[in-house]
Amino acid sequence: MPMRGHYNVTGFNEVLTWETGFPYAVDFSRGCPKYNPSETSVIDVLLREEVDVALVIASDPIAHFPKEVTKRLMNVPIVAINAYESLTTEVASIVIPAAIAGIEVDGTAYRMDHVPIRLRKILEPPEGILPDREILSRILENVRRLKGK
Amino acid sequence: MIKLLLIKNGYVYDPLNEIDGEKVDIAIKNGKIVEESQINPLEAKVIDATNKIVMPGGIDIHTHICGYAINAGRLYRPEDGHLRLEPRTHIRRSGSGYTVPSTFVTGYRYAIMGYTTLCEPAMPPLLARHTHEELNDTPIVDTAAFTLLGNNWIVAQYLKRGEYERCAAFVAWMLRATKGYCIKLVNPGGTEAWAWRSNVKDLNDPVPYFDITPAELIRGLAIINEMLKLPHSIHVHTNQLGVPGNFEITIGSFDATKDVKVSSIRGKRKQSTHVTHAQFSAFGGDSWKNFETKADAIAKYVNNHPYVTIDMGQVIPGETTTMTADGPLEYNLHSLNHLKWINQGIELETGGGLVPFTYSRVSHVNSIQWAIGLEIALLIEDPFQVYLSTDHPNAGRARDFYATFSRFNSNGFSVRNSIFCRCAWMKLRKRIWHPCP
Repeated sequence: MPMRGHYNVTGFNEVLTWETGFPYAVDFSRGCPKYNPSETSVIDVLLREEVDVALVIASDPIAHFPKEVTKRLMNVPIVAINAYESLTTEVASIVIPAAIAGIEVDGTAYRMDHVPIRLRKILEPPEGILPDREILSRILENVRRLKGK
Repeated sequence: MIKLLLIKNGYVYDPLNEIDGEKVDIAIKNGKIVEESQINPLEAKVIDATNKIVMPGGIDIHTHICGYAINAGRLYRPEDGHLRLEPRTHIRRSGSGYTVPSTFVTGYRYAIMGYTTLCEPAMPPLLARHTHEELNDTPIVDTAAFTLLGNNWIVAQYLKRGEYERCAAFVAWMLRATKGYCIKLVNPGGTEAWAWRSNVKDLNDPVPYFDITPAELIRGLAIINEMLKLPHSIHVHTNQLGVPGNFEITIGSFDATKDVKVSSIRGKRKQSTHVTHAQFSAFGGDSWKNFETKADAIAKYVNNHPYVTIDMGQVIPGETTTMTADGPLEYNLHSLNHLKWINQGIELETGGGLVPFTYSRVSHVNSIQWAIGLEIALLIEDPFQVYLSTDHPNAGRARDFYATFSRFNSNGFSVRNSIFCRCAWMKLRKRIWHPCP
């Protein structure tokens, strides 16, 4: 049974669905989740040039988005968190390499039929390389500190 | 945790200690209720509960709040999310959902109603990880999940061969591996038969290939439950659920475990069988035309047999999303209303489905269903043998518990189930309560 697209896409959909009720293209700017894929998807907000900065985690939009959207995306600073090199990490302003789930860190990933698979760690990650959940929680911690919350 | 807490001036209800609405102050020290003299009111945090009820936290023993089924419901019903959007506040996270609320919203809504423990009653072993991830994201309330074993291939084979020791070892491992709280059977044998394009007709109809009957599955798992001395009994969602005339199968399911000797470690449990959402299992007649209530037959049996408990599965009129690990039932529902549906088989373990459904106040079937739930609750004499449940969201949204007993009889506006009418009603109500100056 394969996984979808870039990696744990089904897992992302599942988590966003139980947290907000919607699988993707959720706009939080109004204080409650807004889901309208012709208006709130990343393609739409990029085409309307409403994006200040893009945080790209474990995916490669530069290689897969329509050309026009890719151009707009390259106009804003990109922060890429990825275990591997990709076209997105090539053009990103900041690249944070992450440990590989299932090899260097444990975790869960969802198959494309929504079955969660336990991932086990078999190797130590290279020195200083963190799991993506650790990177994100450290970013969140710092954002909270800077905003004084 | 707050070390010292004093709840003052509330009306206290505590059935175990026979306190029935008296004004009593409650002192709590390190999470335990103590004599009021044991704490210093000056140091304690005081909550003024004047004109409020103080009661033990509610337990919903059957509510589909987490896991594959409800998440599929959220996923395929974005229109349901748009019915209720919950903004974030300084203490709450945002969310959405009317019949299939998101996890945070579920926790908040139950907490507002006074519930502190929720049980997710359908966890396929293969999807246990998903269920627990969602339970971790359900705030405030305590949670448990029941492992589906009634259609499990390995269980069926062991029981057929009479290898109870091995089956018990397998069930014990399964409960530990999936962090399950009790053994759940959903349409025992029937969901497996559905994978063979059929269903079991009654308790003695053998499952294709496995050649084991639903009665043997129920009895076998009840015996294993007692071999393992589990704290709770098996939970059974009966065969032919939601089909007119199924009350005989329900009583047969009770009978299947009649001579199973109860042995729980704590020694408090008397019952060996729990039948969930009994309202759906108490149908008489042989078609929807002569459909009738058989709540009296079910209640009579329960009153005479202390080893049985049930929960109501009370219908609340209005829109909802049905979801269960009973594939053929969901197919029947879909054949009735032709709304979008999901049907899934989960490898060697179970299967399930989802269909949106509207309980209509003008439908005689739905009205009788509403009455069956109440009849069951009122006719059973021992209150500890019947639990309040709506099988959320199957028979109704849990957040509308308070409306369980009032909706049908209200003589107010006949509110139809469309969102537009609902909005109009809200506006009208505001106008009545807050007249313009």
